[in-house]
Amino acid sequence: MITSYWDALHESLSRRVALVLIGLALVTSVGFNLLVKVTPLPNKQFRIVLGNAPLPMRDIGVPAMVHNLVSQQMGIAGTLWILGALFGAAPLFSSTLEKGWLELLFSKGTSRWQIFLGRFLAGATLYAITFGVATFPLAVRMWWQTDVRVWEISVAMLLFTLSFASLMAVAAMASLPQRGASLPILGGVAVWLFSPFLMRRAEMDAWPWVKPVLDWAYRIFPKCSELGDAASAYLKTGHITAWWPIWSTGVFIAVVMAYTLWSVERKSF
Amino acid sequence: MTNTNAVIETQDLHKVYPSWRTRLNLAPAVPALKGVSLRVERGEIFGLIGANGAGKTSLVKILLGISRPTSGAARLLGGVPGDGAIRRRVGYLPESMRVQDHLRAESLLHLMGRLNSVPSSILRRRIPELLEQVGLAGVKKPVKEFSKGMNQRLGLAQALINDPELLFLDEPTDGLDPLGRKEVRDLLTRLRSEGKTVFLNSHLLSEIEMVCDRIMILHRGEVARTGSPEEFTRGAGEVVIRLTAVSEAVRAAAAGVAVVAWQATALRFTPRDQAHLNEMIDRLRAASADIEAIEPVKESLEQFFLKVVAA
Ligand SMILES: Nc1ncnc2c1ncn2[C@@H]1O[C@H](COP(=O)(O)OP(=O)(O)O)[C@@H](O)[C@H]1O
Ligand SMILES: [Mg+2]
Repeated sequence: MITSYWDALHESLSRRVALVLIGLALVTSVGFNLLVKVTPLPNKQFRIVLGNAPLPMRDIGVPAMVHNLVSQQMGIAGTLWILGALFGAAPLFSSTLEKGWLELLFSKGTSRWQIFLGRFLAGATLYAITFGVATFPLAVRMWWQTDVRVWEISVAMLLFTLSFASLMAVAAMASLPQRGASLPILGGVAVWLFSPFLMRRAEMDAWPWVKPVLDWAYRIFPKCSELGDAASAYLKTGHITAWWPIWSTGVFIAVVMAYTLWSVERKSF
Repeated sequence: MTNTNAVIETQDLHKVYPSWRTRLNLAPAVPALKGVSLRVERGEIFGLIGANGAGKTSLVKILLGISRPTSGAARLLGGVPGDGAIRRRVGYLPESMRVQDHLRAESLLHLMGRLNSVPSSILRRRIPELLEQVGLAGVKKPVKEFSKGMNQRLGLAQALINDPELLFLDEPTDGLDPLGRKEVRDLLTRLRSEGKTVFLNSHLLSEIEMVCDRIMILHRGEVARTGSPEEFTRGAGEVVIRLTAVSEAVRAAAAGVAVVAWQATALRFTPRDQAHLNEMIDRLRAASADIEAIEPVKESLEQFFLKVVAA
């Protein structure tokens, strides 16, 4: 499994889309850093300005400002990079099943489920790397310049990676019934787009019979939106306000992956 | 299924590839294998021959546990196909290998070795050796830029990465130049001398004839014949007697013994038995014929194969 993990990481990092992704993450990270100006004031105070238009400033204190900035940066990592990383990582499953390559991989002494699980973990790692590249530089710089540590960003990273992992699980399952990477990517994107919609299902006017269906869908499907909110909240407060989205998404991943690994083991190619 | 010397044993393997059309009864299911039973002993080179679509690849994929039989059973190396511990002792060159774009020859071999749990320390030594052996030493290009023949050589190297006891080669000489084919044959005979077992799939009959100890002919998913190359090419007992010159007397003498066919100064006939052959020789000598050579007429494996398949 570890062999498969490293190979999958190697494979995903050798894809152009993954390099573009990490490159872009780096560019936005640097760009955002350039927009943020920190000026030391007397009494260990700082003026922190985002952009060059001096808006009417509100004094919310340095720590709050720093967290606010990191949170803004994270907002991009949680949307754009989730989608981007999905394009880079979802094909990790279908590429395993390519004719001619499948025969090489699946005739070796490592079980298919281990190969698949290694690729799943590599996908999650790819996202975590992108997230880190996009957000950590700002957090580290703020620590260095203002002495405010935003260590909460690492927990936020785990929350977002969990959200990404649920999409990877969907991609893994969608790679089995057919060949090619389109269905895995579409499946992941669809679940991700569906999640804010399910979160706000109560606000919608729907036929009465639709409501219980949506309720159940909400309970079952990964809660990407809520995980994103939980990450922002954690950055501000340092507390996990609701555990339900976390464990229910965890259960979703476990069930979908267990089914996928079992299917790939018993499938005849 | 108890004999310990059998490296591969199958019983009545059937394989039908399901499709939506057959499931919905829109088309009849065409079986790829129809009751294949075979036995391969330790240390032999076993050749499986058959036309395209005869089911050779299907059979090998079942033996490796990549594909599952519709019915029937298979055992290899005393275990079931698909068991990781068994597969670590097996090498496989697939029919149309396709390597992922990010790999080079060395990284592919390393990956394949690690998937077979070969320790990295052994791989560091073995990979350059194998690349040297298949003639790819010093090639630094990514595998996606390899020619068909280079790809095939790399495929052979990866099949040997775990020093397997049992080797499956599906069309190993496909895309190789004559020199490469010779190298593959030499490799196979060397492996046999090391006590390894080789299961060779091919439609190139001359290759098979040169190296295999035993041959099975698969025809439309069924075993048509199993035997040694000698048995298959022994022919029908026809002989050729070559003379230095032919006279009318010699022709008459020969015609008196059997129905013969003349080809310049050589005569062909099928003796009933040894006495019949000796009688022919005596009569020819009595007519003062000068015999240059007597040879049995051999059939090529190809002729034999075409005969079996046509039947
Ligand atoms: N994956 C598959 N799905 C459907 N049919 C297949 C598949 N693989 C092989 N077949 C069919 O099974 C038959 C045997 O094929 P194969 O085993 O590849 O023959 P060979 O290797 O002797 O050329 C052919 O009719 C082929 O079309
Ligand atoms: Mg074939």
